Amino acid sequence: MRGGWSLRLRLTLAAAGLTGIALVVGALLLTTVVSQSRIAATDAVLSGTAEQVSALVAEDRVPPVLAADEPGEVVQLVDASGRVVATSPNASRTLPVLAPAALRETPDGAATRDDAAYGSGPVRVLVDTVPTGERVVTALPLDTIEGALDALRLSLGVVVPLLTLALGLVTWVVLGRALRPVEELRAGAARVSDVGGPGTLPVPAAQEIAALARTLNAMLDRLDASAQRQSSFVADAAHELRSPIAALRTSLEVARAHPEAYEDAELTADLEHEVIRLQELVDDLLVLARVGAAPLEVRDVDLAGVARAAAGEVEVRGEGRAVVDPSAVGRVVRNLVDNARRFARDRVVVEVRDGVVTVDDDGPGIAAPDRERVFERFTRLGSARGRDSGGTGLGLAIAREIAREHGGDVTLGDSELGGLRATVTLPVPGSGG
Amino acid sequence: MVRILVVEDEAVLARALRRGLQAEGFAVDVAPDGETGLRLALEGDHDVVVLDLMLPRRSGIDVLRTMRHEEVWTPVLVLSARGTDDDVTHGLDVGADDYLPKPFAFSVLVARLRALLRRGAPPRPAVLQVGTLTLDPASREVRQDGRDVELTTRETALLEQLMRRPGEVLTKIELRDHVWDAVGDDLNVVEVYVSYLRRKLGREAIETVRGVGYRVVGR
Repeated sequence: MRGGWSLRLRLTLAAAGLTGIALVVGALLLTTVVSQSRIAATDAVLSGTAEQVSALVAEDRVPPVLAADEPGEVVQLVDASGRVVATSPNASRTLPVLAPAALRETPDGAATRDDAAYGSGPVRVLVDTVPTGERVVTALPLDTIEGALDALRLSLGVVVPLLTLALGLVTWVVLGRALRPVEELRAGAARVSDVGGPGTLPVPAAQEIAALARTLNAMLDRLDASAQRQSSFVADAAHELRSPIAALRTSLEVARAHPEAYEDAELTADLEHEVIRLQELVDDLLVLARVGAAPLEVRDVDLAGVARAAAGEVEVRGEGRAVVDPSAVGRVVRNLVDNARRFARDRVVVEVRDGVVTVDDDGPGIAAPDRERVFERFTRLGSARGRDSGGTGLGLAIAREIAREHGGDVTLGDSELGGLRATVTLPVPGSGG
Repeated sequence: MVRILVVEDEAVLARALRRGLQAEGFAVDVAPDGETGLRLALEGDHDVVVLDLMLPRRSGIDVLRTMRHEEVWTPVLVLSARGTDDDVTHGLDVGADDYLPKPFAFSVLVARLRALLRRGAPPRPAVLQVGTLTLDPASREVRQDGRDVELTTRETALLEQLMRRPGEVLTKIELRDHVWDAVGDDLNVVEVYVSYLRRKLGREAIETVRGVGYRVVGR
């Protein structure tokens, strides 16, 4: 696994981290908003008191003791020299909220200050100038707000990590459950590859992973089928090779044990026949193994010319072109013509038009139900089509595989000559193939 | 003169066998396909048949089965390019007397043919039959009047022993020594198993010959 960290751990950390950050940002925003709204409320109280006092000053009815609205609120009326003219009962006339020097530098308005004479900690102080030139100073300690904020900060400091942790745990567990089918799939795949053979993966309940498992199973089945085809092909090939080898060996052993047994030239003709058969078989096996292994070199060719070159002395009628690899298509035509000549009574006709070659014979033909079967490797139909009638049993299989590699096909049908008609279809110029 | 029938569709191998076997002093007939091979084999004037299995027109297995069905007991040596254990087992169980996978050594073929000729051609049915009772030693299937009969391994072995020599009386000692591995003095076991067989096959299936033993007689 890359970096050593499992997907589960990475996803859990990412989820928990993002949630933690979101919670912290939220908490900060919350405390800011709360403190600002509390300060705004305090300011409203302070300015209300200041207005009352300035109204009393305007009416010249300033009482010796000023009334404050809130508990803990201090209000003082200070003259231009800095002397306290009147104060709320919870403050002293000799101790102004703000020292005279500080008051002189303070413009009208509200501010949070640490140098107020009353209250511990930050104090909200509002200064206002009445028309007579005296100044109203009202103050309210912020410690209640600060306390509330501290409580909020503390609870957030505890709640946020706890929430983050809980979310991380839940994510961890849920991801573990969600990823278990993946692990099951992996274990199943490991079992299949251990036995090195066919097998199926467990299909989990989770939809996406079930689809993956089903797709993988389909792939395994296809691979298995192809491996089986391959191994039965190899077994068939070995079997086909064994027959000429057996004939060669027996002929040679008989000739050695009884040199007089064979008539003149009989033995060499027989051996040659078998060796040629072996060679044809090996050639065809190689061709079959190569089909699809290398890219085709297709070009626009004179199909009739290719067919004429491949058909030998058999007559080729018509003209046509096709976009093909000429040597490969030559092989297709040669195989079909060889096949036709093997079974024809006396006539084989090749006809060409654009993208199509037909090979007709006047032989016995092939019954419709058997026409697909003869394309299988090493299939020879019984009766007349025995092993010694020649051919490797691979000619039609090769012809079809080459045609299909070009995007075409080889099919069998009835011939007007009374025998079999093999039709090769191939891509034509301009078809984009 | 010993006469050999070679059923082989590959001309070169068939010719090699004809030339070689003639040189070894046999008279040889060659059949190039299963149909001709069967026709010649059924005429029964050959001392041994060399039979390929993959033949045009009629498979070798089919030729073999038909020969045995028609009670032609000429020894058959099968020559086949199919040489797996399963192929050999099947060929022998269908009624072949020997099986030689291709390619083979010609000297070995000749030696095996001589061995087959020494044995002669007594009836050697692959499936034993007495009257309506049949027993296939390969599959251990027992049928009576065309119906399957379920027998235990020991019961089948006892019945096979009796059916191999139909009409002949077999003593209890003989049966015990051939059917039971441990040879003891107790001959009752034979009586007990004969009674089991009678229960399944009917009283008359096995006759008791007083003081001698038992026999199976076709009805």
